[in-house]
Amino acid sequence: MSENVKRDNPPRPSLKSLEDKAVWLSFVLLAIGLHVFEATLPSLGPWFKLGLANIMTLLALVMLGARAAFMLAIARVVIGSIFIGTLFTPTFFISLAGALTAATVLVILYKMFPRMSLISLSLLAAVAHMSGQFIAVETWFIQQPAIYYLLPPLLLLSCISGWINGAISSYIWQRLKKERL
Amino acid sequence: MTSENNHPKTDTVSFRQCLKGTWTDRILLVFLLIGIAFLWFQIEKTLSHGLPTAYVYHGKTLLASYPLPKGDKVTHVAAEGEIGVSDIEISKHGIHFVSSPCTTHYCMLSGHKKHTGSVVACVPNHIMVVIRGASDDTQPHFDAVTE
Repeated sequence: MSENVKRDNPPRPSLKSLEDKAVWLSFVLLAIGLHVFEATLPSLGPWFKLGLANIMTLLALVMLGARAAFMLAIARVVIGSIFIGTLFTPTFFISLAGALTAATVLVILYKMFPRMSLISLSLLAAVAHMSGQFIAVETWFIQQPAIYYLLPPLLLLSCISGWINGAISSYIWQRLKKERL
Repeated sequence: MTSENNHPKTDTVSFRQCLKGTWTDRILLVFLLIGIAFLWFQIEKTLSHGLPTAYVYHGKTLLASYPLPKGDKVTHVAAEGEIGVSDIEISKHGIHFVSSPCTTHYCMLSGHKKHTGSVVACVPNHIMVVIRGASDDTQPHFDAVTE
């Protein structure tokens, strides 16, 4: 009898697992919100955005792990693009390339240097994000290396935004840790 | 011993403290800035030779090249790309996308560019205009170069 019950009802997920899923989902929603909000802001330039949604990727990385951070980066670009109306346009592919590059760099650095601060992680991810976008533009669209002439000033701006996003993530993470205690 | 002592004490960190970062963060930032400055310098050095000339590309194909005029002469280039024709104006003010078939119009919003190394691109239309050569006014200027 008890075996039949076990066969019919799969084991319940643990409370920790459910909590992590709920946290991940709330991060995805916040990241999409930030992604859409940023799209409505006046741009500092045609190639530059603040990357506020990366704050959620950073938090997902330290709270939920590498896989969750990677999935969040993909989910927010895809779902955010549906809301903005840029799905499968060049903007979408450039954004996805940037987000995937940044997430990959984040995950590798976090695995290699677990004690690295969020600001350092964010700085390097921002630089990777911008570089990934340029590689995508050069490879798929413009096909001229001259496009890289635009890269140095935008990398400078990326450093500033990366630092600020890292500081915001660090602040939120400190507060969340305190709440959890 | 009170129950409070059983919990590790956490200090509240202000946002200002977080914004300062650690020494490692600062050293990393300095290295990044040095790398970016070096890259920028190398690009500027590579481009600062010859007359400032606008090169119009569609993908890998060079569609046209025009020296930037000094007078009131205005040249319009109709560059046919993936989704239509982009109208590019070349004048003493520099290069400028007058119209483009893309939806975002980032290329048009980029305004006039006239310095060496300036790039204006319409990504959806695969059109790019780049200025190469010295932006030094003391150099001799030609209306056009023919072979």
